[in-house]
This record gives sequence, C-alpha cells and structure tokens, in this order.
Amino acid sequence: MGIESLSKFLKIAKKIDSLIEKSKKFNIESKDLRLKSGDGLLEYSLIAIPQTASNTKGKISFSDIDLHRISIMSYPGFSENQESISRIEGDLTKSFSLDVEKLRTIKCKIDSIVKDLVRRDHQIDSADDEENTYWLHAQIRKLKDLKDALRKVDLLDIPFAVNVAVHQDIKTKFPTRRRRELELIAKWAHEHDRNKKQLISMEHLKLKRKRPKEKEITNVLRDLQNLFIPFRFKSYIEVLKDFNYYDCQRGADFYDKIPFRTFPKWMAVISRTDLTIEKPVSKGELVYKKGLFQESIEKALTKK
Amino acid sequence: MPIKSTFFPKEALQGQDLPSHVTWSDLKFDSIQIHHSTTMKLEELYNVSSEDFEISEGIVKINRVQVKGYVGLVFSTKILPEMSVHQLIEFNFIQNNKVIEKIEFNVHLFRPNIVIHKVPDQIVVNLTSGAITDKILVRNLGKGTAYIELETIKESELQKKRPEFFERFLHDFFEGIKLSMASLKQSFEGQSGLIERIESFLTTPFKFEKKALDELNNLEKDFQVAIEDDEEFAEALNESLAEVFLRSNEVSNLYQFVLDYVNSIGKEKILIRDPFNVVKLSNKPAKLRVKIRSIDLLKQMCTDIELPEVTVIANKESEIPIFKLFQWGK
Repeated sequence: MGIESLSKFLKIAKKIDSLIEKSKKFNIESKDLRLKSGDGLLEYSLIAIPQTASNTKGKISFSDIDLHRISIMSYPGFSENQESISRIEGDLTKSFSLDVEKLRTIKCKIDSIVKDLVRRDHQIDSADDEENTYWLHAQIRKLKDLKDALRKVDLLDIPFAVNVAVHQDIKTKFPTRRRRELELIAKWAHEHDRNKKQLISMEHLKLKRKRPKEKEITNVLRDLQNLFIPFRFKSYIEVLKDFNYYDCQRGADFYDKIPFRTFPKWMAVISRTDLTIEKPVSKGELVYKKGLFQESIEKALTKK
Repeated sequence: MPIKSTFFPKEALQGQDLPSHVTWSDLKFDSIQIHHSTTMKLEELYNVSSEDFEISEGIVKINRVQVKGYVGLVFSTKILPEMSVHQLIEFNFIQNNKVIEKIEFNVHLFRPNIVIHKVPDQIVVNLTSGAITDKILVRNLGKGTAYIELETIKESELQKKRPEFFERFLHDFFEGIKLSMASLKQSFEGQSGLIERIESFLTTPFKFEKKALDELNNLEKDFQVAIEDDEEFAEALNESLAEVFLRSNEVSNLYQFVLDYVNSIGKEKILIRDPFNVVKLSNKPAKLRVKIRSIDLLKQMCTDIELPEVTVIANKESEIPIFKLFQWGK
C-alpha cells in the first residue's frame, strides 16, 4: 500500500472483520474510518447484523489486536452498551461479547496517521509587505486505497500550524527615541562605575524631560506583551474557506541562539480542516490583519 | 460548470513544494495535460496509477485517474537566478484532440537577495556620542525574509565575541534548560525524544551550515507536529522556556533583551541572528574582515558574502555591537 500506518490500520481492520466473520454470527454490512486528529485516534466503525437463526451468544476475542478502546452501540437508539464488553486484565479492552447489538464501534490508536494519509502544505513566507495572507492546502494521498477498503472515511480536524511573521510590525512602529531609552537603561544596568552610572541617569532624565507626558517604558513593554496573549492575538487572524481557526501561541524561534522570550518574531497559528472520500482536498487562507495589529502596537506605545 | 475546485499557490519561496489540485464532476476527457515551467519538477501525483501518466519536458500527461473527479499534484521548485519570477501553469482537459476545459494559474516565486551596496574604506566610531560614520550598507533586494549571521574571519584584527553579561546569562540559561527539560520529560514521556533534541539544540553552538540547518529543519518539523497534536505539551514547553529565561536573567537584562529583539530586525525583511555580539575597539585603528552568511525561511543557504577589509577607528577603548557598523536595508 505504500503508507505504513494506513497499511497497519487496514491489517487491524481486516483482522477484526475476519474474527467477526469467523464467528458466523454476524454479517458485516459496512465499514467506516474516522480520524480525529485532535486526539490522534483512528476510529473504525462497522455495522454487523446478526445472521438470522444464528445464536448470538458467546464471545469474540480480540486479544491479539492492539486496540485503544472498543465501544458497542445498540441499534436502533444508538446508545452505548459498555456492559457487553469484557476486559482482559491489566490491558486495554481486548475482547468483548456480541449480543444483540447491530452497530459496533472500534477505536484504534495509530500514531502519525495524518502525516501518512494527508499531504499538507502552507505558505512559509509572504512577498507582500502590506497585507499578509498565507495559503493552506490539504489533500488525501491514497484516495483509491481508502475508498476500496472503507465505505466512509472522515479525516477530521487535521491541524495546520503556520508561523505568522510579526517582527517587522514591532520594528516599524518602535520609535528610535524609545530604542535610545532602552539602550540607556541597559547601559546603566551593566555599568559598575558609580560616576558613569550617574552620567547615564542624567542622560536618561534629559531624554525623558523632552517628552514629560510620554508613557513609561515599563508600561509600554507590558502592553506590547499583552498583544501576544493568544485570545488577544486571535483578533488579528482570520481563517477562510475550508479551514477553521483553532488556536495560536508564540512561535518558537530556533534561529536565534536564545529564543527571544521578550517578544516573539512569529506567532504559530493553528487552524484545522476536514477531508473525506467525497471531498479529498481542502484549500483555504489565513489572513493576518497586519494593519490592525500595527494600530494596536501604536496604541500600546502611546496610549496610557 | 464541470470544474468544481482548483488550486495552485499564488506565491511561494523558491525551493518550496507547490501543491495543486483540480476536482470536477460529469466531465469526459481522454487526458489531462499540464504544462509547467521546466524549472519545476513533478514531485508527487495523487489519484493516478503509475502506468496512467507520462512526463516529458515541461508537460505532465495524465491518461486516467483512479477515483473519478480528482487529481492532486505537488511540484518541487528550486532557487532561480532571478530573485522574483512569475510562472504560468496550464491544466488542459483534452477530448478528441480538443481542449474542452482550460485552467490557468500564475505563481510568483521569490527569494531574498542580500547584496552589499557600500563598503567604506574606514568606519569612524565616536563611542562618546554614539555616532558612526560611513556604515556598511547591506540590502535585501528580494521579497523573501533573510536571516543573517555575521562572522569575523580569522584574518580580521577585530574578532566578534559575546558580551560578558551574555556569557553569564548563557551559563545560567543552559543550567536552567537542563533542569526544566528533565522535568518536562517526566511529565511528557511520549515527547522525551523531542525534548532531548530541543535541549541539545539550545545548549550546543550552532552555525548556519548545511548539516546544522538540516537538523534544525527536522527538529522544527517534529516540533510543529508536536504543537499541532498536543497543545498541552506546546504550552508546557513554552512556559518552561519562558521561566528559564526569566530565572536566568537579572531584571535589568530584560531591557537589554528587548533592545536586542528590536536590533535583530532590520528593514527590508532582514533578521540578524545574534545582535548582541560585540567587537572590542580601542583608539588604535583596527582591520575588520567580515563574512555574511544568510538563509531564507526554508533554511536554504544563500551564497556567502566576504566583505573587503575595512579599517575601524574609535576615539576610546570600548565594546560595540558589531551589527551597529552596518546599515540594514534602506
């Protein structure tokens, strides 16, 4: 099959099918695959109808299969029927008895399944200085294999982390005199000579006297920091079309020896999308409202 | 309209893979012919079996798809001599030798382009007033972001070094990293391999060199997967790094780091990797020989630039951040 995890999963699914078929108590009517990327679970559901005139008492053991969880839904009504599941001691659920239910859901956990099933791409750098949009694209790699093996495939909440560049915005708005002020404070802190320290303090005072009503630098830094709190930064992000906004956080900056923990250069924005056999592709855009963010920086720098 | 959805990126960094797709319904055709620039190469083709397509110079011909209504492709691109090009891609659905559906895309492929615009014979530094006359002018004429690393070569009399406060900070920071990563490993056993790699990366010297950049690329990819899949881990990692950073710092250094943050960002999308590095000047003229290394956001190395010799003259003995001898962008 060429996709390691899918192949592993399909082998498991085949084994489950074969165990149910061998019991000669049920006919498998349909098989569904559903991936919930958020918790990394692959859910395999199959509908098995009792064979007429067959005794549905007894157990089917799944002891050789590494399953995360098994749940049984009774039909009609779709209520979960946990009492008909028996666990093998010290392990996850590995066997259960089949009574009169008709719908059975089996959840198997397989790592890195999204990577193998779905090709994900997004824009890395943006050429436009004024407005930043980042394209997002997802597509199923082996559509036919999935379609042949399963009646239904839902790949849900496929995550995309995009690094949105914010560095130029702070730099553009940060005034030279504020930079000079930071320079003086840092110089003062590193200076050990008392006389030199005093001279630096005088220079700082002189600088402050020129703009007595200007906002305190500590408050400026605090208000700038607040802009990067996820629930505030998300207002500068819009995720369009087939994708939905999920979360954002400070982006890691591994290029710098010390990831600057003062302000981030990037915000990692996480969006999500769904793929199915019927809709094997997703396209979308992440819009970074640069102008609006720059206005907020301006406010953080000046508004008391 | 039989064509339901189409996609090709409008813009991308040179060297980035370009995904594409077309979906349709109720469309009968003999083949799909895709015409593309010869600087691109078909990297992956989805929903087409290996015997059902042909590749020739600049053309991909698909004779049949596996599941009706969808074809997906990925093209690879490479760094081009031009820093900015627009390329046309055409998808033609052919029936009886006639084009029955035509879809055109235009992609802007760009990259950073770091050039040295001016190198003065001498730079005069007034350490009392802070005035520096005739700086070296470095520009990024391209549209892509460039990360810059400044190296003083061994023939240079002035050698870059870390300032004393930073050495102290690094010592505490590395110690803090080791401790916090150990505790993170206990809480997130499944991520222990990644945590170890992050720890090693943060505590080992790193230069813009191919091997190190490849490793960084892999680390970033795995880190990306981890933050996408496990937000709790991402938050915990972020918090531990921030905590170590704050613990390793005297409060006064925070202003220095804000300053370094601002200083590390030049105009024209130039990012300077280590703005805190200094050279020690004295009142005796000294020769400065610098090499500029740069990478783009795909961590592809741009050509190294070795600058001609510059004499630096100062009015007294002191340290100065090396980046200040440069003007970054116009």
